[in-house]
Amino acid sequence: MNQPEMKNQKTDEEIARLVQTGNVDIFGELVGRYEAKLKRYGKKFLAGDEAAVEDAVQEAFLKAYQNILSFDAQRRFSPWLYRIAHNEFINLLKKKKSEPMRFFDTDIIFPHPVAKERTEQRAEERLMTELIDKCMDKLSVKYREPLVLYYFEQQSYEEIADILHIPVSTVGVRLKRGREAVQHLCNKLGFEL
Amino acid sequence: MNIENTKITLSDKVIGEIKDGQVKMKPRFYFVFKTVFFVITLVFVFLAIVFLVSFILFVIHGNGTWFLFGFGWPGIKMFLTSFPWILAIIVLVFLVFMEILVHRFGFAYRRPLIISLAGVLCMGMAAGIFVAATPLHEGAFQSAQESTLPVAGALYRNYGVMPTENLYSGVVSEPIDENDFSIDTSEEQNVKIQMSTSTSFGQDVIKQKVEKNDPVMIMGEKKGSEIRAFGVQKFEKNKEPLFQRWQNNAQMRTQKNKQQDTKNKQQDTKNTQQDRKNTRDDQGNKSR
Repeated sequence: MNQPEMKNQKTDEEIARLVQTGNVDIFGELVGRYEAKLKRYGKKFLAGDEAAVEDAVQEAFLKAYQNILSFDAQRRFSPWLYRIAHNEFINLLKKKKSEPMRFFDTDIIFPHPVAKERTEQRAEERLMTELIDKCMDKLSVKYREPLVLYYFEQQSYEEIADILHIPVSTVGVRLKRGREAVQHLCNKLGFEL
Repeated sequence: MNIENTKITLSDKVIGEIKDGQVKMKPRFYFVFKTVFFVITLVFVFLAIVFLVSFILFVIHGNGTWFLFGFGWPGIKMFLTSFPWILAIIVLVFLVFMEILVHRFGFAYRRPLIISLAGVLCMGMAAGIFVAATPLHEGAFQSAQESTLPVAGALYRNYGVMPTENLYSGVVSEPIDENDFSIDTSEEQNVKIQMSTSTSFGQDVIKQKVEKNDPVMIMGEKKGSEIRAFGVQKFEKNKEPLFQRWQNNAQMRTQKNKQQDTKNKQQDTKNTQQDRKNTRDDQGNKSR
């Protein structure tokens, strides 16, 4: 079995464990697996400025390497890496100052009923994804990010909660409000679901 | 093709920076140290909350503020004005700080803020109530009064004896009649208590047959050595820790008075001897 085949069989967590033991080269495999995903996440979340997104993604990988020993290989690697990327993108937004950033949101205070992810929901998702893609840049950061993570990055409610450090019920609320805002915006712009 | 090139380039860039030594993996002890420091801070903040909650309970119990609820609405109003709000605000600040600290953990941030904050508050309150039930603060208070408690001595001396306005406690010194009786407080003896038909719970107290040495708490206006009572409460003798405090204070006061008397007597004797000596010296001088 050659080296690339062996790498492909390993899970992200197994590769991360190898990096922790000092195998630097195999970290390139993780970069390869997540580069396109993180760039897509960054471009959709930040709505443009590709060069800045690429720099932020590179910085996120370097920070992931620096802090790899803090990663618990018993847990999933993907939310851990997305969390680092999220922090990088937030720093970028703060520097830009064009997007209003709220450090505290009232929707994280009280419990909200969480609508479970339904099977038929997935059927609507393709259409919703198209709509979100068209109206994304008009949405506020607060709703844009969970929508990107859920519809484009296929992260679950729990994983989004881990990435954004917000309650699981708040993820549900923001997705619901985000969808409503997208429909409203798209109707205004003449697109329909 | 273009995408493939970009992918390889980024991976090469990242690996290149790592191999050049521009980026280094943080050592494990860095994360261990960070975690230990974090846990120590968390424990310190929690202990501070527990100490302050138990101290507030000790203070409001010790100066009688706690019992104001028993005097109805006027008592509640007085409770609100007598409560040590500064300490309560400090507790609140520590609670917010602790919430910020625990919010790093999944069990905290995955739940709504109100729930994790309530959890922190409940733990702090429960531990505070438990500590308040131990003799820790009473012992520290006694040490502070004897000036043998370092650091927190001033805190105990300031708050531990802080009187509540219009609230007096003591033991009955003269048997009750229809409208009044006398009490000994830790500061004075034979303070006359005047009750009227408008005195809250006054009739209940009369019905309970208050006897000599019964501990009581009076809410009322003091003029000279008389208190016009708005409300009266009787406690079960020896079951109330506050009663123990009054007894201790009374004993300490008696001891201090005795010591002062002895000192005064010794001083008087010295003065008398000095006077006699001076008189003898004067007489000697005159006779010469």
